[in-house]
Amino acid sequence: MSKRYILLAVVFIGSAFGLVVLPDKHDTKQIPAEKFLIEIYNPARFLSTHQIAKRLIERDPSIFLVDVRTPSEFEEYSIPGAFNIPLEHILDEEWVDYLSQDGVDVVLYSNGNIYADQAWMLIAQQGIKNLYIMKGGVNQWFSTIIQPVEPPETASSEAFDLYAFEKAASIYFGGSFANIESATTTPIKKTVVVRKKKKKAAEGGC
Amino acid sequence: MGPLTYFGEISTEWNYVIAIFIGMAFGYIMEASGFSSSRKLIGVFYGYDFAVIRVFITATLVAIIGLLYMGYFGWIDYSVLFVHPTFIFSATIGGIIMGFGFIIGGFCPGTSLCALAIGKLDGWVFTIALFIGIFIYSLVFPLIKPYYNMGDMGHITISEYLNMSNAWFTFWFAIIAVAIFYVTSVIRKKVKEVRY
Amino acid sequence: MEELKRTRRITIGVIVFLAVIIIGANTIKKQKNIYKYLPQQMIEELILVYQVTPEEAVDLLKDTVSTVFVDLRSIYDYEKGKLDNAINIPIPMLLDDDNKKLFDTWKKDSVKVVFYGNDQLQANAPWMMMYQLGYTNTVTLMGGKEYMDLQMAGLLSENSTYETEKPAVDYKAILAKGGNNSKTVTTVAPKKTVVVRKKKKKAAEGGC
Repeated sequence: MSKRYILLAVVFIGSAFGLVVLPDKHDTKQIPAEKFLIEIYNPARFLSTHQIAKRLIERDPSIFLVDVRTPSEFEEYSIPGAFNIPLEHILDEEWVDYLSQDGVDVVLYSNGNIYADQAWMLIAQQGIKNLYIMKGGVNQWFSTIIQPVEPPETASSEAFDLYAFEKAASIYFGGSFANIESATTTPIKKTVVVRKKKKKAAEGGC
Repeated sequence: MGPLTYFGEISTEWNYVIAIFIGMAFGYIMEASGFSSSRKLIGVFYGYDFAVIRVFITATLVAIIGLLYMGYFGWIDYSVLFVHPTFIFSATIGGIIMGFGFIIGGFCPGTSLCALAIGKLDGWVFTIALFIGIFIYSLVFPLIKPYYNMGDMGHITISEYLNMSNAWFTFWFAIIAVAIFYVTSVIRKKVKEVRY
Repeated sequence: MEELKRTRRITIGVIVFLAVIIIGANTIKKQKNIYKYLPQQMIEELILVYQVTPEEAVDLLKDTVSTVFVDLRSIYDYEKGKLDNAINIPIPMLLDDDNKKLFDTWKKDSVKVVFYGNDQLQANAPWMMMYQLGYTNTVTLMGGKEYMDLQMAGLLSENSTYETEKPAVDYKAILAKGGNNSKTVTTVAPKKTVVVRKKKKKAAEGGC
């Protein structure tokens, strides 16, 4: 028998035994903190209420709203189409498929920003992509979409365009303009909501 | 998305490109080790050449050890790997049929393509027959459908079935493999040498 | 000749195989920052008190020994105006070695670290991360710098609140005022059915 075959056998058994004695490595899918810090700093993780209202009106199927408030708050008012996952259950096994859908932007919201942000932190650090926060939460939603406030005379034309959109959205979502027909006679300019392009991870060459 | 995570995610398009290169290398190595000769392939059944069994066991060992190490180094996301569902009875029956086909025909599907590529006539015949067989199979499939999913064990690996850690399973497998290498070399010495 | 070729192949194969393993062993990345609290554990920590109100902050600002305020905003914002005795650490620099040393000493001396940004949101995520990394002596400032400014200038209006998670208005009442809301809400926007996507299973490919 050739020495080389013996060498081969020794290498196989040796390396297989090496696997056995390797120290345990707690393998988490956690994004390393240094890397995650940059994601935290990226403002693209927030979506404005306008962006979300526009996509809801257009019936964009690629948006999925998640309400992280308590079920009772959810009962009282929720954004149409939202799905309720209370913050303390956000990591439960059954919601994993809901929160990580390919090609669907999952948007978290609460009354303010904080709970949604905490939910985002908990999920996003496990490497789940396409996760956003509705900036300002339901409070902001009410002050912009449901009860929009007319900008002052001196405001820029963009502000008025936005206001026109808000009024239209308000009608759509049953807000304060819902039964004032005369208010809608002004032609509604379409506000173009610019979606930030998601950064894709560098694709590997070979 | 390949399980290779070292370069970040590999997109589906690149997956195919990489697959082509791996396929080329696979074909080249097969042909270079003489797997396009049906006499060499059949040798394992008559006991004069065990190259096939050695190559496949070596390949399995390299793959399993490599995968586990790479998984440990964080190059490969081990959990993404797809484990085929096991249909134990169907697989056994299918294996026996395939084995007879192997002995009679002298090739397995991959090696027949290899032989075809270097222009061997038997390779051509085997490959054409292969497609005829596939055609017939698809026609009679409704009849044999009940035997198709027999003994479903789900997505299970041997180490899971034996309730062993992957590392220990690999270790025992390596020892068994080396034993097989040794036994085959002993058998080969006893069998009268065949020139081919 | 045949034999020679084959054996060389084996040697080369063995060398390559071992080389891959050795290279791999050398590339194992040592984690610089280790999470002390994984998400599952962190979710339980969230029940604890992790924020200070602006009223409390006024007292804490006077106590420079056992409290330190960390300004998470940019250097520019910090230069424009800061809380007294606050230290500026912009978010991207939180995990720099020098800053980590600072946090370590604060933790050792059990100094309370109060993170603040323009609002609480800006401080929340960095706080959560530092907490998860084991710096449990950290809190966030509710309302943030903006609220503190108003408070100090005595400009707080009825509408200003630092409890952003409380409903600012009675949602139900407003929608009721909106008219035929119950009808519109339900008819206009039907509930979306959730498509639960299972992991893609790839078809079996290639035999030998």
